[in-house]
Amino acid sequence: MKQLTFLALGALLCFPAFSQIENTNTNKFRQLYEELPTPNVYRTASGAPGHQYYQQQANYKIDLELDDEKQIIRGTERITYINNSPDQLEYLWLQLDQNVRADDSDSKLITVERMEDFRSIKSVQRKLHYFDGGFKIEYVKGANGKPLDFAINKTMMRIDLDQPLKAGASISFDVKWWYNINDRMQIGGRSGYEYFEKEDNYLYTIAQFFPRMCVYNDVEGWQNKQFLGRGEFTLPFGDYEVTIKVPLDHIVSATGVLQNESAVLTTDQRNRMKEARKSTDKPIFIVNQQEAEKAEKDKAKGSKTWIFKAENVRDFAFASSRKFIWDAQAVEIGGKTIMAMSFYPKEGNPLWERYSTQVVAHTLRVYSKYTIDYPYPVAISVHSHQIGMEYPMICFNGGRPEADGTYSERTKYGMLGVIIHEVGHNFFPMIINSDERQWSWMDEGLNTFVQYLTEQEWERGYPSRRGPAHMITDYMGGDKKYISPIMTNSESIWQFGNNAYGKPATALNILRETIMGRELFDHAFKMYSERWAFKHPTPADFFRTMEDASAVDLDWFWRGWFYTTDHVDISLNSVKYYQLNTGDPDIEKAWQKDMDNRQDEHIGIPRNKEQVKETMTERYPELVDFYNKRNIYEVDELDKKEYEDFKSKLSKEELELLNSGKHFYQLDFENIGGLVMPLIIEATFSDGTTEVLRIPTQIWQVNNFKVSKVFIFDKEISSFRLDPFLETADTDLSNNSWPRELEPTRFNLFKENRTNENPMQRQKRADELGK
Amino acid sequence: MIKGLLSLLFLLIAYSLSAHVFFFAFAEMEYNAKEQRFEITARATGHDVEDYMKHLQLSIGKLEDCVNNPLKLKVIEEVLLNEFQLKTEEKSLALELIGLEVNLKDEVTFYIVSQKMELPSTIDITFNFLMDFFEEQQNKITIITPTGKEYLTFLRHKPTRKFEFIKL
Repeated sequence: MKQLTFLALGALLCFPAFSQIENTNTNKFRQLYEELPTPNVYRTASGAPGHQYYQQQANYKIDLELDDEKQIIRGTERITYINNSPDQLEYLWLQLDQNVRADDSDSKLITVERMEDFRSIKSVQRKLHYFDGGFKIEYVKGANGKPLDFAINKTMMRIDLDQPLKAGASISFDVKWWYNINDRMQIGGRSGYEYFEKEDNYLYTIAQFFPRMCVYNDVEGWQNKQFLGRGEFTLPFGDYEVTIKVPLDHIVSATGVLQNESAVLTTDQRNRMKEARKSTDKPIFIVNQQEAEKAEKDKAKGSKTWIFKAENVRDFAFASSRKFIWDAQAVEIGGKTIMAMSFYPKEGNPLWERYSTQVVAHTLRVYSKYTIDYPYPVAISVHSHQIGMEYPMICFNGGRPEADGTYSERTKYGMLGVIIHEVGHNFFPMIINSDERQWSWMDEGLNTFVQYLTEQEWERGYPSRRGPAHMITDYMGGDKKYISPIMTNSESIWQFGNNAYGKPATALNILRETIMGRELFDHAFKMYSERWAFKHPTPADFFRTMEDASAVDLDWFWRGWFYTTDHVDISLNSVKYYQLNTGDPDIEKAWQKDMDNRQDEHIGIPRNKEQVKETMTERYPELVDFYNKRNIYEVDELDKKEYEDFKSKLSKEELELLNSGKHFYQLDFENIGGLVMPLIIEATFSDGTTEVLRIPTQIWQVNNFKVSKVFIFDKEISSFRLDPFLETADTDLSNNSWPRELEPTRFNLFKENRTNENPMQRQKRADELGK
Repeated sequence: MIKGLLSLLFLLIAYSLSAHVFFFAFAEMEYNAKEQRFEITARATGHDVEDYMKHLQLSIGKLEDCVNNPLKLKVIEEVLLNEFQLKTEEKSLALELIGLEVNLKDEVTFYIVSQKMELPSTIDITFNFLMDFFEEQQNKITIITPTGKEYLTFLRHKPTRKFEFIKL
């Protein structure tokens, strides 16, 4: 009895919860108000910066020394931090990204591991390799030379101020530090060095290398979420003046403009640079391969200091090596001349001398068309084996031919793609400065989308691997347990590449091609870029601007594509065919006769004709009455009179419609995957011609799961096909056609294309040919 | 302590490749009643596979060079079929790699067939291809049946899944 009471009480307690869920609005078109932050004076409901929008500024003066003997970098920096916020700041937060490689890094603690990771001796050796990484901070001092208190929490450093920094005030302070540079090829990393053992030379790509101010803003306060390795970073804008002391024969490329050309370049190099500034169609060598190879061998003694200045950038990175070949060309954008440049070792050739700088120039032109004119004076691509990583004005890109100088087509397109992508990051997030630590998709997704547009303008049929809708279907379809919505923090994403790069890029491509159309989309996307250039946008600013600038309500789209893991699977469940009844007995009775004749005959009827020699009505004619004799297909006078009476009541237009011979088709659709999308239907007529019908997504707005639509045609239909241009990311095409068509599997396509010859047989033939 | 250090280094190796991560393999499997065998395609990222083979110290070079090279195909087959397996009633099915294609989008597709057999009522699928190398590798299979498509996901901690066929 006790138990029964308990169960009954439990049922009563549970019931309201269930009923609440059932009665909640779960319509896929409900507005996004509950998901988005309330607009305010900093960020408007239209998605623009508000009238009191502010952002902080951090200016840096840095002196660096690159120790090529010990692979150490040492630096002192003066940071001038300007508090443009309305708030008083008791402390400042700086990012110490190099500490991700420190001994006490959280990254190692959160790594999931298994014994299978230790399968080969080499992997164990590699794992046992000890590296003394992380920043060694020597001091933090105020501008007056007085030490400042600071505390380091893993990858973050807090500087405690003697006096709070008031709104509108600024503070300068100095930090001295050094760290061991990581061997990128051994232990990885976005920056580091590559050692060329054969010739004993190093190629340095140095980034995230100095203590950098965190962002403080109206959204996060201090963005001091720890750097764990995946969620990249966000930084305030500022001006940089950086001196870099390197070996005498090193060539240095960096964020910004070289300030002391005459001190670090030869007369020949300066003259070539002058020529490059006028060359808008092809790159000019500043250092050619022969000169770079000579430097590799000679290894000059001494040092040289390169000076760079960069304005209004959010970071600074550089590359240095005596191995560098250097070429450059001018790009005219918005009335300004920008220098597109590449730095690469001989190992990058012949690919790099042919393509890199041309791809940089092309990327700047295309991105400028879709976003804002490229605002910086230089854009640099540096060869960096196996990775792709971006910083303001400079990026590190892979794409290395074989040792014999040959390369596969796949290597070539891989290199072109990575350069376009990394140069494109100048726009997202270097200029349109979103918070990567929070939302990877805001830079990776938007950038991958424009990357796709840029690739397609490089070469017709360029083999882009992300962008078109049908390329994301394997990822989006099916089992949802181990995929995440796009709106997931960078560190918690299942399937980072598909989630943060592929899916958002596809979503934007679908918006552009199918939902909004190119004109509306391009205007809105450019508006977002213009509004948020050199500012810190959030997801809501993007969502709101795209709607505000286009008058297209996209709440359903953001909700479905960005906040859920639903996928597109719309099924054409059935097709029903109708024709108008003209009322004309000559037509209708003949049609009825034709229809009846078309009906399949039951097996018993022909058998009975043969086996039943005589029926009762055949034997006894008196049993035959009116109904047996009546010919239902015969048109009598009464039929004709009734038709004339019916016609006399119709207007001329009604009569024309009745005799038009139109064909009516009711199509029934089911939304299986959950994502609502437009219905794009290709109708093929019996004469072989086709017509494409486009029904907006709003057809699903009342019933999100089942809808019907009637289409009227002049001609009879032979088939219907849903999503004929593969533009909605429909994951199951086998339910898209009427009559049903078999969707060939990949295996069947392979079998169809395959010759009967197996590789061994082919080899035999090749061997025989060689004899 | 040592274990922690090792995992840190492993993580850093993974991150070295993470500027553009893919780490996803897709397979499609169908029982061909006429041939009485399973026909499988498995697709992964080309450079992921090349990096993995290098990590295993197996010199296959570029995948393009393997397409018509029986010796290199054999090397790939051994690795692949160690990490894609089918079992019925606790017995492994013999599988054969019958071809490989690689395209300019850096996708490599493997074509695999099973031994001849009756359609079983259940099958255990192990699909941990590349998972020992890439911590984040996630694999997925689409099983095509006469009644529609079914999907299974495979993770490092869940490399084997059971599938039940409905016999019509």
